[in-house]
Amino acid sequence: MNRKVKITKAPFLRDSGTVQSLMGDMLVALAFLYVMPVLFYGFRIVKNLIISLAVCYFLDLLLRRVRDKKYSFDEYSSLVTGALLPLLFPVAIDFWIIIVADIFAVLVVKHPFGGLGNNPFNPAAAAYCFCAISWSEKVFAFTKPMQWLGVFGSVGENVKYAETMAQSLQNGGRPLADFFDILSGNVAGAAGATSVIVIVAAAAYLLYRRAISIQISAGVLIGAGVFALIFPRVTTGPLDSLWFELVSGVLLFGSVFMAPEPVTSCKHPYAKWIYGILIGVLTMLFRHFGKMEIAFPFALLIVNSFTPFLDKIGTGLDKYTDIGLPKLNLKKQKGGKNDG
Amino acid sequence: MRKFASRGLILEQFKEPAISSPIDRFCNVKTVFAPVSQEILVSPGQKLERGELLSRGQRPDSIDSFSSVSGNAVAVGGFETEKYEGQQFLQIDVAEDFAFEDISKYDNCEPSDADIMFAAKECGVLNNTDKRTLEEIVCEYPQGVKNLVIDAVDDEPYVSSKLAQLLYRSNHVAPAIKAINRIFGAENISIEVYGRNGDISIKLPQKIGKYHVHAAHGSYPVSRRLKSDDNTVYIDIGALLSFYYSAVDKRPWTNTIVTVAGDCVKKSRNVEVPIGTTVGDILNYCGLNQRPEMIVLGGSMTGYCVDGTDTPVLRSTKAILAFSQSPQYESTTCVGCGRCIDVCPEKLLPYYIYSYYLDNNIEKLYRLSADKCTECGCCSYICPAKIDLRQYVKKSRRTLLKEMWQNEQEGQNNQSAVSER
Amino acid sequence: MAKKSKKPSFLHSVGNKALGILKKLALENPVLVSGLSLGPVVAISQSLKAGVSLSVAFAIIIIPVLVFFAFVPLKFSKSVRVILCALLSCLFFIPAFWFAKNIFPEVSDKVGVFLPLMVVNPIIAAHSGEAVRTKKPLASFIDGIFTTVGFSLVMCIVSAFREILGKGSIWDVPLGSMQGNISFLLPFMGFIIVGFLAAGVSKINMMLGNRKKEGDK
Repeated sequence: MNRKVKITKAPFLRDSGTVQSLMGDMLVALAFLYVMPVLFYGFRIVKNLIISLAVCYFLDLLLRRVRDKKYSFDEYSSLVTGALLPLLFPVAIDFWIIIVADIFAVLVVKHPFGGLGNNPFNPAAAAYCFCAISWSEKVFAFTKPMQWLGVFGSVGENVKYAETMAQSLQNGGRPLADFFDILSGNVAGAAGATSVIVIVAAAAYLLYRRAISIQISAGVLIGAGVFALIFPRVTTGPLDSLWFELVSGVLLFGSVFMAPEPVTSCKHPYAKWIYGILIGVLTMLFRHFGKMEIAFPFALLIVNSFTPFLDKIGTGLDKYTDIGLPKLNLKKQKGGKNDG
Repeated sequence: MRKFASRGLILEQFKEPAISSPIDRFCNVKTVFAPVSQEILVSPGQKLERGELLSRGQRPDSIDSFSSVSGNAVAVGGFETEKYEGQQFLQIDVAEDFAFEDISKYDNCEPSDADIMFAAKECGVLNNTDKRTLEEIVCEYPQGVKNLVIDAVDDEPYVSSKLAQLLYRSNHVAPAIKAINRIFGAENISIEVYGRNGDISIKLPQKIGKYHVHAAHGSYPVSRRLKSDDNTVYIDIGALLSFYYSAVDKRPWTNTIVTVAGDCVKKSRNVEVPIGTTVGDILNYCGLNQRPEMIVLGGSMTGYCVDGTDTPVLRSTKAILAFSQSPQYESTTCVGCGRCIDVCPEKLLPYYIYSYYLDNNIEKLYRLSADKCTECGCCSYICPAKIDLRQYVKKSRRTLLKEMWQNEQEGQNNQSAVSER
Repeated sequence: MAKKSKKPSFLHSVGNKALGILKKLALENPVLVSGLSLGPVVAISQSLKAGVSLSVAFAIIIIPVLVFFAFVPLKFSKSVRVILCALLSCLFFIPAFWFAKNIFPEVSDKVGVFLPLMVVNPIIAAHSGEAVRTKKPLASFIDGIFTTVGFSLVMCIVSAFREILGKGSIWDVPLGSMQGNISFLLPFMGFIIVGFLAAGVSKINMMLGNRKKEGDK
């Protein structure tokens, strides 16, 4: 519930950032990611985006009205979930799966726990997991890039499907993609999760605006990277394994957009590192021993349930690393005797 | 953009033009309100001299109170502002011939030892850095101390009263330090100022007399680092100059320097006024270009709002800020962004304290050490949902202390019951 | 002026009683409001056959145990009473197990460990019901009946829902050409469905102002 408050108690100055600006930053960063899929697959992704945003926003508005008589029109948190979901699915997906995912995310994962600020699980990740379990063949049917997919309706029979990097790794082989193809996103994969350069640029923007914390993103990549170095799945050496594991699947995208979500992640600085590393390691374990090619959202959901516990650990660690107040520098007087 | 991974805030200082012009002196008032304690030694109608003792302080609540003007005592009353609840004030009508003495008579004076001890113990000098009287501090260090630091740090936006005293009374600072060091006998003496003042057109001096001026850099709050311990004593510059002037005059010094700033004030400046002058008089002297909606006494981050313009200024007031509108924000539910935890200089967890306080979970509040809060206001400043976190941490601290005190009482009762059997 | 009070008609009183029973089953449901034996409801309710078999097993165990438990004197200490109750439940588990294995053999291995776990339910029900206070066998019997019917209602509704949407069949009879969605057969959907039902019951309770205060039964 939004209400206007007057400031009558100290401090009388406030920072200019608001919750709306936080959500706005996330939406801007997500907008970066919609450019490349349009180049590779056509305007189908735009249709997916519009449907997803509309369903999320209106369902959220309806549920807020049901829960609370007072509600406001400008709460954008559901728009972030709505913009995030089409980027996880393949571009060729049918629109009704996205609608079901939106409804699940808002109706089952977000509002029963109390709405904004109270949900323990990441709504986008949970909705993705639900759809991945229910309709595995559709959700993992990735098409080759650089083919124009029809905007409305199903994609039809003449579309060429390709094996993603995650699938190749699962089958034990080395992905065939070229370095520059991976950087630009010219590989089969989830709509927004393939082009590495755009994700890194969006991450830099979000870090500058302080919308995400680097401890979680770096933690995920370090955890997954170290595990990939020690236990490579490809046969051509640990460095190859490190590169391919980090860029395949939804790992890079998730570490920037899904894991550092403020509501569900840890708050304490030390706990954020543990949280990130745990997600990375768990994702790699899922990839080794699980049967789905995309494992990041599942690992994220499991570690989400540990958030309060990790925060407690972080506070405990604070006691050991307390260096006390920084001392002020007292210069000795130069030359001559002091008075008194 | 504050530095990566550092705690505290970088704030825009707004110290111009107050810092670039010398300190004004204003004593042309009709009434002052002197704070008095329960034992008042004067009666209504009595004629008062400047520096006359009005009431004895009962520490720790109040200090000795002296008349800051010459005039007639009128009546005792109180004010409705929340901060002054329970505090009594004596209204004094100022004599028409009251005026400040020339400040140049204090240049290069060397008060005698007896005068120095009188000034330190009998003149009610209040050290604003740790809110103790100079008498207490002197009694705590009977053998003297190794390091003496003069605190001229103004880390809050708009406030520049301490810095102005350093810049424009600099020819009194060196003899004052020499005098106070006869009590403390310190080997290392330095003066501390705040290094991040924004673009001010005046340059900070490197040395005052033979004492070095050191600029403390860092994010707000810096003052929390100024804690006296066994080897170091921090004296603030207002207390130092009060002590010095009292010693030279052989009478208590009863003026205070406040910064007047804000967007309603025509030109922001530092003003020296007698203690107890009303806010309205000072604002009228400085000139207002519109009626202020919100008047703040104290700093912009740790001050308090006052309701009327006839509230008096106390010895510890740093600034008067007159804003044309009180800021209004839209407050939403907590999003859990964690910025309050990132920014707290005492490494507390305001997010958890807030949510446990709302759930009334005293058990968990114990573990979060809410009593370490120094009330700097960084958490409230940075919260994007505009939740008043500082208030919640204060309230939970009070609840926690009440609970601990109750447990202690119960423990004592049980013990006495056991020992009775 | 005093109004002559009308004697309520026979149908009226029966209707009231029926409404009262319905209210007790729905709004003080042992599973949805008190959380009794959530484990089987969430994990095993994947087909209607499993649901029915577990409900009957529940009935066979809990009703006799509650009746016999009413005869246990209160002066035994709590731990002794709990152990006696557990022993009684294990005794009555034997016919329940026989029933489940022979009447519904297809689901007996799916049901797995949750069937023996039914033994624990009477221990909880016995200590929270009226039986403890009034010590009347008839009251315990009625308490047992209500608990059983409440549990069975929830169990059967959830199982039917999950079977229709999960497998596209009911009582192992396929319904048309509908293909089920696997995720309804997994435990997480069980939690979600039970959660929504509990939320609905709680909302109705709040609307009727039936909030249970501390110290009430």
